[in-house]
Amino acid sequence: MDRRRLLGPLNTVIPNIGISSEINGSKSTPQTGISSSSSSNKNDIENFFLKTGIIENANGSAYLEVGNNVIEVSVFGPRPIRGSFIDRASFSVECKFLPYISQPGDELFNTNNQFNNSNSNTNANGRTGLTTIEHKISSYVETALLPSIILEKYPKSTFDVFVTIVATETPTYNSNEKLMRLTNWIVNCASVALVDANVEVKDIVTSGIVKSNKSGDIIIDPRGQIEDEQNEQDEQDDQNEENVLGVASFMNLNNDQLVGIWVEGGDIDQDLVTKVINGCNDMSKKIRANINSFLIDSLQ
Amino acid sequence: MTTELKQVSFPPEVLARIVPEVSLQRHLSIGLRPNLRNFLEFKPIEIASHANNITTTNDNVFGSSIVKSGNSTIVTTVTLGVVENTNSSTSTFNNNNNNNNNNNNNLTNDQFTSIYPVIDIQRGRSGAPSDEEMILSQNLYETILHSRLISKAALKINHCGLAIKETDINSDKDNIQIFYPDIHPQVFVNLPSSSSTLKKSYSFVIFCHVKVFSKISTIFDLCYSSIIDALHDLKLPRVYITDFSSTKISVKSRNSNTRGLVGVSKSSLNIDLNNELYYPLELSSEGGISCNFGAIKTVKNKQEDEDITMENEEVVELLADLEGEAEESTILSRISIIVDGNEKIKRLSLINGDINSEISLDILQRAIDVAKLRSRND
Repeated sequence: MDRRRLLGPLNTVIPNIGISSEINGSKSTPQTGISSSSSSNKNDIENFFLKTGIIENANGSAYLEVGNNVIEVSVFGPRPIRGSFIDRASFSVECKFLPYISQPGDELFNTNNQFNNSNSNTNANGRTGLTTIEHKISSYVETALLPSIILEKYPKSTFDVFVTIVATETPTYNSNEKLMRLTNWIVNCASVALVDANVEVKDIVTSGIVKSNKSGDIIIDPRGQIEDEQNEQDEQDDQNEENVLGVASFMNLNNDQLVGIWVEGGDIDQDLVTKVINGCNDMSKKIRANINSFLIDSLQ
Repeated sequence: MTTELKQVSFPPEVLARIVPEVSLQRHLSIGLRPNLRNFLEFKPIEIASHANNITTTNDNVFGSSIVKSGNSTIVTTVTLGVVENTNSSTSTFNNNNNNNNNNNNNLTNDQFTSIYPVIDIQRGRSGAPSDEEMILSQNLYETILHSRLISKAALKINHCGLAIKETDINSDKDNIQIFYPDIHPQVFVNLPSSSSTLKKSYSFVIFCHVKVFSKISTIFDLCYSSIIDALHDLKLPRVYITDFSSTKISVKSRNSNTRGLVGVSKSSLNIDLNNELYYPLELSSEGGISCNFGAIKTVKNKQEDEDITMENEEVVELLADLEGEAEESTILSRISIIVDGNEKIKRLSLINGDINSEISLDILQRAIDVAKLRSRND
C-alpha cells in the first residue's frame, strides 16, 4: 500500500476499457491532422510547433507539438552534486508519460497493468519508476545527446533532463512507428532545451526517422499508414512486418557525426542500413535548418 | 586607527535576493508589490476545459482541465475506478434518494465523498512525492470532502449492464451485445441466472492526476480551480459486466519456482465507450473560487517631509494572491478562503504566523469581502 499518495479505497477495481454499445459497435477514432497532412508531398517533413523557455523553475525548457504528439522537456543543471569530486559533469535523461496515456507498445511489454491484466487493481496515478518503454526512450535520448555536451566544462555538477509526454498519436499508428517517431522528436526537442539552458555543446543534435518497405524504398518521416492506403488491410499487416524503421541522430556541423541509431524490424542488411542512415541524415538536416532559424529568430 | 566602512548599495534585483523583507517593505511603501500588482489584485487565470482534447483522445480519461496563470500550467485529468458497495451503504443511498434531492442540510458528512488527487509538480527530481505534494493532495481531498461537493449517490452506478456473447454459426465470429436493465428491460425478464451478479452494487471512484508545470508560487488555488473545472467537465460512462472473459493468469507452483499459466473465467467490469450514454456528474454546488491572502505590517509615510519621520503610521496591509520569493518568505500570516457562487464560505484557513502583523477581525472581514466579490465576478 502506498501511504504517500491518495489512490482511493483498497478494494477499488480499475474497470477495463471495453467496447462501445453503439449500433455499429466500433468507436470512431478521431483522426485529426493525419489525413490532412497525407495530401502533402511524401518526403516533406511534418510541420512542428516549437517554443522555448516556458518552464520558469527549470534552467532551460522546450515544448514541441508535432501531429498529435505533445512533448515537454525541462533541463535542470548545471546543479551541484553532493559527495566526492568528479572532474566532469554527469548527465541523465528521464522520460515519463503522463499516467493516463497508453504508451506505444504497452500491449507488447505488458507495462501498463491497467489495460492488460484484468485482476490487477492498480491506479496508474500511483506508478513509481519508469516502464520498459520509458527506459527505452530515455536511454536512446541519453546516448544521442551525451556526445554533444562538453562535460569537462562542468566539474562537480549534474545535468538532468526531464521529458514529459503530454499526448501521443492516435492508435491508427503502428506501435513501433509511434514509439520511434516519438523518440525522434524527443531528441530534437531536448537538444533545443539544452540550448535554452545555455549548456555548452559541441553541436545541436537533430535526428530523423525513415521507413523502408519491402521493395527497399525509403520513406522519410513516415506518418502512419498513409502510403499503404490503397492496399488491403491484411496486406498492410504483412507489410508492417517487412517494414524496417530507423531513427538516427547526428551532429550535422560536426562532420555529420552519428550519435545514435535505432533500427527495428524486417530483414536488415548493410545496404539497407546505409540507406536508412542517409535518409535519417537528410531529415535531420531539414530539422536542423528549422531549428537554426528558430534560434536565430529567438535572439532578435 | 579606525577605517570608516563605506556604504554599500545594491541594485534592486540583488537586494531582493539578499534581504527580501527589506525589498518587500520598500515596494509596499510606495504602494506597489514586487510583482507590480496592486495590493488586492489577483493574478489572472486562464481556464481551458473544453478547448483541450485530452478527453477525446484518451479512452480512459473522462474529464480534464488545463489551467494557466502566468507561466504556471496545471493539467488535471480524471480517470475512474469502481468500488463495490457494502450493504449498509446501499441502504443509505436509497433513503437519500427517496427523502431529498435538493436539501443538503439534512445530509451528514458520510453521505459525501471526495476525489483522490495525486499532485505531481515538475521540479527536476524523480522519486517519491515531496512533502508539499503530499500535503497539497491531502488538503484538496479534505476540502472537497467537507465542502460537500460530491454526494455518494451521484457516483453510484445505477444500471450496470451485461454483455452477452453470441457466436454466429455462419461466420464463426463472436458478436458481443451489451444490455442495460433500464434500456432493454425485456431482456432482463428472462435472465434469472445473472441476477446474482447484477445484485451487487457499485460506485465510481474519482482519481485526479494533477501535473504542475513551472510552479513559482503557492498553487493550492490553481489546483483547486483546475480540479473543480475538471469535475464540471467530467462525464461518467456506463459500466457493464462480462461473464465470459477468460484470461490466463500465471500461478506459482507449490513445489518449484516455475510459473504456469492457468485459464480462469471470471466476471469483470468494463467501461462502455458509447459517448451517447455518458452522463455528467451531478455536483451538489458550484465548487467556488479559492483565494489566498497575506497580511504584513508596513510603514506608511504620512508626509513626504524628511523632518517629520516620527509621524509614520504602522498599518497591517492585506495582500491578495501571494507570488514570488519576497512575498512567500516574508509574509507568514496567511488566510485562504473558498467562496462558492452563493457567497457561502466553503473553506477558511487562517495562520497567524507573524506576531507583528496579526490578522485582526477587520482584516479577516476585508479578505472575506474580497473573496466574495471575486466569486461573484468569475
